[in-house]
Amino acid sequence: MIVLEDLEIEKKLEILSDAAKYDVACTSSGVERKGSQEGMGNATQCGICHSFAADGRCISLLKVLLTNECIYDCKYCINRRSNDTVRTSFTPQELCELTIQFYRRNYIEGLFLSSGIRRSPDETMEQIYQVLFLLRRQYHFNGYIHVKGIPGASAELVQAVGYLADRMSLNLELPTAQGLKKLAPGKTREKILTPMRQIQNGIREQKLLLADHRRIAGKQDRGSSLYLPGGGQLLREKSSYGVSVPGGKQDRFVPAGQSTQMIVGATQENDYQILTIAESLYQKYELKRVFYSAYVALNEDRDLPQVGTKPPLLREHRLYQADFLLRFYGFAAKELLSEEKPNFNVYLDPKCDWAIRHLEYFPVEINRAGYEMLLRVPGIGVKSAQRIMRARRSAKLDFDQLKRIGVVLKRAHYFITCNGKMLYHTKIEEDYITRRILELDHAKNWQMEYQMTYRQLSLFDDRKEGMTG
Amino acid sequence: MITYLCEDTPEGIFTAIYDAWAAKIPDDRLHLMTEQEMNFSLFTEYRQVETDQEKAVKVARSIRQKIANEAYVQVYYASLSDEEDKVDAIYHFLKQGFRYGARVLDMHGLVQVCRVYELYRAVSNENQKYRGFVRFAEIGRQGQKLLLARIRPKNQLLPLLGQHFADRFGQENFAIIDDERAMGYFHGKTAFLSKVDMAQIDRLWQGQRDTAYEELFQTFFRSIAIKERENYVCQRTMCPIRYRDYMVEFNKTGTDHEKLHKIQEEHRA
Repeated sequence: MIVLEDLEIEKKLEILSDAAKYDVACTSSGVERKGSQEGMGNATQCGICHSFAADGRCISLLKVLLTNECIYDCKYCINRRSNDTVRTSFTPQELCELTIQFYRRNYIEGLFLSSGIRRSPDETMEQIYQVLFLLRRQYHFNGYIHVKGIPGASAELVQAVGYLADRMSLNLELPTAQGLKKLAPGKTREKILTPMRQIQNGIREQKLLLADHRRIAGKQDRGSSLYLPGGGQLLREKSSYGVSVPGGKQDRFVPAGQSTQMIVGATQENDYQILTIAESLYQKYELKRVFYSAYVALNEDRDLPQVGTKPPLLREHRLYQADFLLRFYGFAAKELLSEEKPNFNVYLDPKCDWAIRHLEYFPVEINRAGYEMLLRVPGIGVKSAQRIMRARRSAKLDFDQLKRIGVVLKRAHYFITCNGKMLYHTKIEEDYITRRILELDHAKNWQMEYQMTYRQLSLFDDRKEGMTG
Repeated sequence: MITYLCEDTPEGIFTAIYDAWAAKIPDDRLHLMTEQEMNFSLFTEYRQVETDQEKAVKVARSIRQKIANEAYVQVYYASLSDEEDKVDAIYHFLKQGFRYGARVLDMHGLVQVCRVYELYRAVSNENQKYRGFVRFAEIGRQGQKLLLARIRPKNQLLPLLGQHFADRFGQENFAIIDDERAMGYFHGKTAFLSKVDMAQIDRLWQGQRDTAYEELFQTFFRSIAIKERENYVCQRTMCPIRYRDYMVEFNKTGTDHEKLHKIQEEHRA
């Protein structure tokens, strides 16, 4: 391993961002925080994209590794020990300076810090802590920080980092324990899931504390979410009651929640397995997001797809679509896929696919259907469904109004009626609808497969439209 | 026909609405617009609106109290739009609003409601893009440094962007210049919005300037992209070319445009 410590900063940045780029999450969402008097920076609930790289992916955070030295030899990883690449590290000061200077020029929304394991998980986690401490306390950086939890790091370190970061994530890496064992001999499921559980508990505990503060103050709990924007302010008011969240007013534990990532296409798992795992992560670990990363075949290994194999972008895209259906549309994984049909339809998006296989529920009457059912109509998203619910209180809706509300009629019209009438004389018949919708989607899917049109799917939690008011 | 002409600012527009409302002119004879780009008509009576802070505040307050805060947000954003019909649209929306109250926001059957919502959406979307795409350059000598950014938005975004960056960079001296409108938002010990002399801005822009971090960001921008997933069409969809004028990562490399162009050529062939 060639380790070069005293490279110039530009070279380090090149190496350590290149080494970090396969991590997909670059969102800066999930926390609303006002600027502070002494420092620099704030955070917005919806996050902000600052640029788009040549691959069309959003650049929101300065995504780098602290070091690309690594004692592990995970087969899929570009930084594995056995790869003959130049190794280097940032010093905490270098990294803070870069973050601050990029931030002041509005290049980034904050820092995304990951790292190879130089000597031990604990040592690495501690160095990450040092960077964060310096950045928050000395540079008074108040922007967004996403940090990777290091599998195998001790609970105290994870805890300490959690009070300085906005979001933490531990990569599940491979959908199954067998896959992990085969490709990442240094890691185990347990080493990943233990800190994940710890972070979940930390976040939960804090939610309860916040709720207590609110009760003591006699404040109404607005809605069911305990994650109120402005929660930080509440703490400031409440400090006189002598109950305070550990660490003081600004320190909330992982306020933007926890996420994870799975590599798709390095091992043999099918879509059903992957989606089921994602579902249980949402349910059992209360994750904010699960990210999917189409495997880019870079390393030579008999357990991996051949070098140069195209990354499965369409598959990744379908997984993201299905993921949104799980989180916002009330679908269960087993409704979308099954043991008998374990992979997504290449031609149809998962929601359309479901609708066409369940024509017995359609057509749906827009002026009467419940919210849950509206959400299941292809072409109606969460926002349009909510607007339909509100709009129809004052008047019966027709197709014209649906269009203005934002319903994609060219998709939806096969599945709905307005005041008992369909838009055109179309048949509720599987083959017919499939054919028509395939015509609509043909160009899009072709692009996806051949021109690699990857779209960062960006609904609500990532890029809700800004409202400063 | 009676036409109210007002200054193209939220205050000017709110004042015009106050005056027109007070004059009780029937809708079919009333027209409200901002002063720019006028084609005068012989059959119209023009009334010049004198911007009046007090009247404007009264209108703003009534919207919040009698309709809803959300309505105020929509109307304020709409007033920053570059669409010609915005003053009329806001006036007619408010008329419905004062009739129905907060309910009006859900009445998508009314064209007036839809139009203001459209304007609001357009301004809000562009604002969200610019929040990310604005690039500050560090300009000036030691001791009197300034972060300067230039933009060319379709809509009047300075009040919104100013508010965003004032919160974010409270301690910094910064300015954002709207090239098209020759306006600037300035933030230092105080903050203000004013007309600027573009020749002076150009001189400042070309003067002493720290480019070390611009180059570092270009490096980062190149190395963070995954070659196997290259996709210039998607890049353009997410970051349309019109935003790129002052984005340092596109400026010097320039290659992204060329590659996009090449792909389009190939696609056509």
